[in-house]
Amino acid sequence: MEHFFDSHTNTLAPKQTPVHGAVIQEDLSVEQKLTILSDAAKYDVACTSSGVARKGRGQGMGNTQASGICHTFGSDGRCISLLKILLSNECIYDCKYCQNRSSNDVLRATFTPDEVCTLTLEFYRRGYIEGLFLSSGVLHNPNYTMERIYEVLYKLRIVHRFNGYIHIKGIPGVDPVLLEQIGYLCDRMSVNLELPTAKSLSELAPNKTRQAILKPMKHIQVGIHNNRLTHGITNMKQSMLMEADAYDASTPAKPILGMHSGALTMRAADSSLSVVKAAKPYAPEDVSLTEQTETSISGQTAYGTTGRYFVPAGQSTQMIIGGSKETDFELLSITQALYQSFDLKRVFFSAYVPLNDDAALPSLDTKPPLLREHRLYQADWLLRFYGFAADELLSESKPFFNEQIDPKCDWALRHLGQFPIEVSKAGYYELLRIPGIGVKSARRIVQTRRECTLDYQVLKKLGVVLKRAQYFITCNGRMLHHIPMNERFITNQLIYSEKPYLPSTDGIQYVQPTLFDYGMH
Amino acid sequence: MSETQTHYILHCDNSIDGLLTALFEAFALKKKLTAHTAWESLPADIISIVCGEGSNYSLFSTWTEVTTDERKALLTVQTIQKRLGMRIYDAVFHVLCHFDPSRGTLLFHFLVKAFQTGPRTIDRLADPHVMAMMEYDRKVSNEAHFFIELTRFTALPGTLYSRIAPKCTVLPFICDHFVERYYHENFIIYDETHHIAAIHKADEEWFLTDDPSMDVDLSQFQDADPFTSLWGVFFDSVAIRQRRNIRCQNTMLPKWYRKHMEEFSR
Ligand code: SF4
Repeated sequence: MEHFFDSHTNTLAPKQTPVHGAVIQEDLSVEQKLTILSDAAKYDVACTSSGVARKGRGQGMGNTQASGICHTFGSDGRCISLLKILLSNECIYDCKYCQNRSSNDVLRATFTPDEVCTLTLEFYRRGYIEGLFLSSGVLHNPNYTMERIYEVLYKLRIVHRFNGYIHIKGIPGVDPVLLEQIGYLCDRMSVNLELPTAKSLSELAPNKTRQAILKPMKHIQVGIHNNRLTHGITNMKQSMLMEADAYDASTPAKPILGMHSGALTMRAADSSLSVVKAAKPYAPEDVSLTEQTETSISGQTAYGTTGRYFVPAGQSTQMIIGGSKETDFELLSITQALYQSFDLKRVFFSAYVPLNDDAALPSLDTKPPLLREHRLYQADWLLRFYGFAADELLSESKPFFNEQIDPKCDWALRHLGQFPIEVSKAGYYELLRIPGIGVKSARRIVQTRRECTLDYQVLKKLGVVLKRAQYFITCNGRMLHHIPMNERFITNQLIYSEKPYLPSTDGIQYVQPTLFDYGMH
Repeated sequence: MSETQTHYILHCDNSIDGLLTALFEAFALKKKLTAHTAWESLPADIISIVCGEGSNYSLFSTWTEVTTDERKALLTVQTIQKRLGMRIYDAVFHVLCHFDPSRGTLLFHFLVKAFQTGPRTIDRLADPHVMAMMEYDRKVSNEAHFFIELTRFTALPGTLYSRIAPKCTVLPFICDHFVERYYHENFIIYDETHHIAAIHKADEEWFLTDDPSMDVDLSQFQDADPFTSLWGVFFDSVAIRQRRNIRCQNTMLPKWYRKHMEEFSR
């Protein structure tokens, strides 16, 4: 099975070339290809190398760290961690928002697998990158494309013994058997949701359906689930630790631990995986697979029982923000449902960048909604680490975040009755609800107050951002300053104090308010 | 404080062994001074340790030159490890690698306290010395983490070579990472601030050296390496023009870290 791609090479490639809008130029240099194919890949926002720790000193080169490593920051302020490229920007589909759509007249290029390997290995040796993030336009058809991607993976992992990080983009419509082979050699897989709802997907990506996207996501989830059980692991999201020899052919198979007890086959209505607590401002087909399907990834092949794991760094997805009409409440509810139904590690949001002139799309001079994207990431963080639910933060009657204030402050201001909280007594999760206190500072508060009495000086040293927290806490019964619990006053103070950190503050005037403005002096 | 109270200043070289020797001497001095008086009744800063060049003599102080002595340095290490445990030793070692010339004094005052109150001293974050230790420790760890992320290698014939210009002595904290990653490669990481180099021979462990021949001019090799320019091509084209945000870039990657990053030195 390791030579899967050899036996299949070219069998799936149709005779005629299917790309009609393409400007195909022969003999592009590697430099030209790199320019074209990194430019075409950059709208994928994920660039993290986290979720799996793989030891070094293997036969080849490389290791990975669970927390991920950033190697530089681009002029857009985004972290660059992986060689993020497309294998090809040829595409048979015509998604309206995409630069590579078949109807666009753009220069097309396709890397050979060896070119991708060389760039990855040589960049990695020089400390430029943590590994590879490989995606692709749909070249001929999904299986043909994914076979080429598998060939890259096989060469990197098995021929070159590359032990760095690899993120592979799954193309909807790919055969689950091929998906399973890929999953054993990469670290993370993502299938892009593209647009938040089935409705906007059908409007803007006519060749794609929500069900076709959810299917490989479900396959990957089931594969991860079954494979982890096989290894005796019941947590579907924890970071995995892998040995350096995981990809060596000679590594003996490990005994199957979990057997079939908890194994899943791919049932659409698997209720245990689609419990959604929040209000549902979305259609069921947006977040659950309704088609019945036969296949399942057992996670228990010979590969699944060596030191290899199926998609050990977990699965992520991405959706475009601002290309279609959904509210923040819809977006956040869908995000929450995705975490619950597909065990995703991350949901990424990509502020819409206009590339094509199309009546179905926002106009070409639309600015990417960066602030909105920023607020959604903050809210996503609250869902994942702070125990918030989507319908606590937003509702049908308040469906958008306040762009001027972060979602946690926003929540706190609407629940002033629960404040101030006494930091020397509050429990960990109660501390987490206080603006200006994060996971780290909450943990430090709990640790420190066992050894000594807290005061504001100490809180500051523990990493509490008093600028925000001061309105919501008492320490030994005292507030930092005597501040009335007035929602409007606190709101304006918070807006002012956050200003320098916002991604874009064009056109908004900030004036620090004083107590005079509120007649409270 | 009595007007005639002399302050003692121990001066050592800027190396880790130098500071450890000075700490040894500081404790010896403390013992001598407290033979007849309680330590608490003496002014808090009666003994200071300064290291490196350009330190000032001050009036009413006794200046002692400390000669680096590996044996005394080792004894200091062993005493800290044995009596205070690895957690405190780890913090002490991080602070030793900071660049502040007065870190020796901080370490001395912290250790005096720690020997009185034991290994749990480190949890008393409200104590100003403990807090200062933690701040220095965090600074060194953060910088080391940056250099794990940003250290770049140039492919010389048969060896990967890197130049870094850190403020803190980060090499002891970053080399294990690169050995794991490039175990079958020869590599050298040269710290041009502290004039030391870490050397890793393929399939072996790494070691530190102050051999001046490790200081290599890289420009000719970088110009000849096609992957250096390919990296520049990638770096430029992967940024989204419509999201340009130089301020964010500067916050995430402060400029002084960029000295040896190829994409910024074109
Ligand atoms: S499938 Fe759609 S989004 Fe993907 S490359 Fe093709 S046109 Fe673009």
